[in-house]
Amino acid sequence: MSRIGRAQIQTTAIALLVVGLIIGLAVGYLVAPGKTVTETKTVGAGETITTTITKMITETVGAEGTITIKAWASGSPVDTTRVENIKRAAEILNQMLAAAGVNVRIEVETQFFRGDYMDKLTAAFSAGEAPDIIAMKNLPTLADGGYVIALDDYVQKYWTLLEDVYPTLWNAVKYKGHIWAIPQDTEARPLYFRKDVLRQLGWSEEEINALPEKIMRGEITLQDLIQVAKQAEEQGLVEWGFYHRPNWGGTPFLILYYQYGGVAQDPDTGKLVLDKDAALKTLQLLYKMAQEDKVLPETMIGTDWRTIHSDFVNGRVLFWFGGTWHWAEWQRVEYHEQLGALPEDYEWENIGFALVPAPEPGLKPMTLSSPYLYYVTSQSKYPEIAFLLIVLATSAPLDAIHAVDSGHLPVRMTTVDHPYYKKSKFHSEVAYMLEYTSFEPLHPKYTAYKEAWITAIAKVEKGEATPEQALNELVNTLQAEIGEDIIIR
Amino acid sequence: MARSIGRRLLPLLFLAPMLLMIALAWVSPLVLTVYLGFTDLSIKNFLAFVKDFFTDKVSITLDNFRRIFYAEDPYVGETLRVTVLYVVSVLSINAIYALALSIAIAYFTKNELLSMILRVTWLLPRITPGIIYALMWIWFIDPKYGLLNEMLRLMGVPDSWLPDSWLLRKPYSQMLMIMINGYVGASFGMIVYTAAIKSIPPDLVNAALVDGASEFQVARRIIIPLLKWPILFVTAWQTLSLLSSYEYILMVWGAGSGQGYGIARSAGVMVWSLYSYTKAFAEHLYGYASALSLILVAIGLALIILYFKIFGFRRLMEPSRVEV
Repeated sequence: MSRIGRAQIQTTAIALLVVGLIIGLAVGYLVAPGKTVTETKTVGAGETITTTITKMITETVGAEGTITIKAWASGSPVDTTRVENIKRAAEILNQMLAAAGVNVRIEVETQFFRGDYMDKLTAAFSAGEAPDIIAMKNLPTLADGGYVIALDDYVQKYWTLLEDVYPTLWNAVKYKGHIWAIPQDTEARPLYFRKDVLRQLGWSEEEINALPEKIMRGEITLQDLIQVAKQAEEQGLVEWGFYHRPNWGGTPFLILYYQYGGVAQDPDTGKLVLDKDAALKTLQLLYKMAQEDKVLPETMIGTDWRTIHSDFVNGRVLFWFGGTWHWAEWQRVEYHEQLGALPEDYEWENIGFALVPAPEPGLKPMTLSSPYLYYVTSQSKYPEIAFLLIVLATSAPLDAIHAVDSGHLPVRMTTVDHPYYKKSKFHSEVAYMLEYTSFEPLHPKYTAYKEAWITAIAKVEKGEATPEQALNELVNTLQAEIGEDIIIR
Repeated sequence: MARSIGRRLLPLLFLAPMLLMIALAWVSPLVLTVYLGFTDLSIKNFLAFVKDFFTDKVSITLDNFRRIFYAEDPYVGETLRVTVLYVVSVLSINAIYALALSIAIAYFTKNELLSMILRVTWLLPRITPGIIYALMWIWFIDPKYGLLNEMLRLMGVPDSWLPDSWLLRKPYSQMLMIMINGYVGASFGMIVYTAAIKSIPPDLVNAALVDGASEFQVARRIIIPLLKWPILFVTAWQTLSLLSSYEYILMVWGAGSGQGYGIARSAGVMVWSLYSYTKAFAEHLYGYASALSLILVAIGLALIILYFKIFGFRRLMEPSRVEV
């Protein structure tokens, strides 16, 4: 999507909002002249919210002045909208304030990191220079450590602006009975496949196009695809049948574990869980793929990202357990040896996507979502203004920009009707995956859980341990590292 | 009187910048590490801890050391084994291989220009910025595009011997770790040895040659015995620096939440100091990471005392390093 398109949508959104607010104010004034409008009175949606916001801002900042809100986020190169949308939200708020005649302006300072920035955050906190808004995952650590504030009161106060958040996503921001964040984006983790390779294997267009649906119905399982992968390797069409992530990231390991009936977190006690049976089956499958069927490189864990993307985009790999955002990444980062960044038409012609298939007949296809979250920090001088910014930054028009440009899925139900979003064929075609989604556990010791898993997976794939040995090691490590917070069953 | 005070104070004045640097860059971090090693500081209690720093509110605990010594941390044993492999192997390159190299360059290579070119070649990795050096290795060992496998193939190494990944396949990954660090480290010993060899009076060598000694005998009977102190110095120095060095491993195998952390361990290159780094900056367990570093400090101090007592380290500090 072109920049002009985004800018136009943004301008239109701001203009519509401002016009709406002005009309709301005018109607409110006409309907109840001379009366003080309180937050609870509903004279008109625009009026109530505008009045609430302007009142709050003038009470916090004063009649005039400029305040600076700092926002930090991280992600892949296409995720800069995580901070850009905060700037856009500030523009909306500034226009709103100008329309209401309030002489307060909000400026936004942003920082975007490519990887984990927790160490920079702690440094900023100890210097008293923490940002007001942060975007990351890590909810339990941030909440337990006192880095972020509970948002329950604000959520209640501004509920009219949050009604269209997908209800399931609220589960991803609740911890110890409080709401700590606003969902920033979500995604699905599909299995991508090379249509061109399947064609070379003699598949018809109908067969190729029917693959996602057959996977969805459980008619084609991972076992079937392993056979296809072996065939493609034998015919020299690809170097490898499958690639998975070089690190945890949930897919496909947690998905497979869930598909085999595993549970990662006990709903009653909140403790982490390892179901030995499901874990063993997961390790056995990965062992089989890497060691017996040879459709997966033994040294997959740790392979660098560029090699992974480059090999898949250049057709050297048939199946790739990726994420929806990779569709956008391939269009922006030059992975293809001849084409550089991929035109979307090339993607539609040569790449398809489906749910992660059932590992065996009788089991279910699945995907996984790991929502990214916006938080207000405990050092923010203007927590309510920061909260408003993150609410606006995830509102439908801006949610649409982030979702489409970064290949994520929206967090607001109204976003799917937005013209910018509707134009994206990819998004309308992956939307069904959210019905098959699962989530990662929310636990402060989840890092140790992931690390123990990834060590076990690396060992079975490299053939350094049998699945049974790796499972024993996994159990011992989890017991030692997590202690009372793990249930082994 | 004033002059005598001045005379006494003057050295202190000159020493002050260095003492200040040592206090700031060495003593205070050490004190801090000792303190933190006995606390449970982590990302979870960080904000409260910063407020209660050095007060009674911070609970002092031995838990970190219990985890290490009672093997409650499942990764400690393996980390220790990798560290021993790393230190012993790289040390033998830095101290012993560098000796052979220096004798070859400074004694056997009679052409001064060639000798200089060879020395500069070995110094290249040390003058290359660390991150560039690491990147060059990453490209060099790439199984698909890198030169290393291709070169080995040309030399007749069969394909089945070549790893699909130098980074991840043990023991190739460990060999790589030793090569990367050894290549940089060898130049330090080489400089010290070459200078020492050059300072051996030519009369000694010439006398031996006149007496009918072969070149090899000169090296074996004259040069090596005269380099006893430089060898001990290089060995002591390199042991201590290897114990605490992990930067090239970090740059090549990475560290960080999840990914690099997993690679270093599954590649079998997680040395003690990198493990401590990982605990601090990837898992944010600052107290535990400090306890792990303290163990290294203790081992380092023990080794210093050992070298001091057994090898007569004190004599290394005396002006003449070559006894003639």
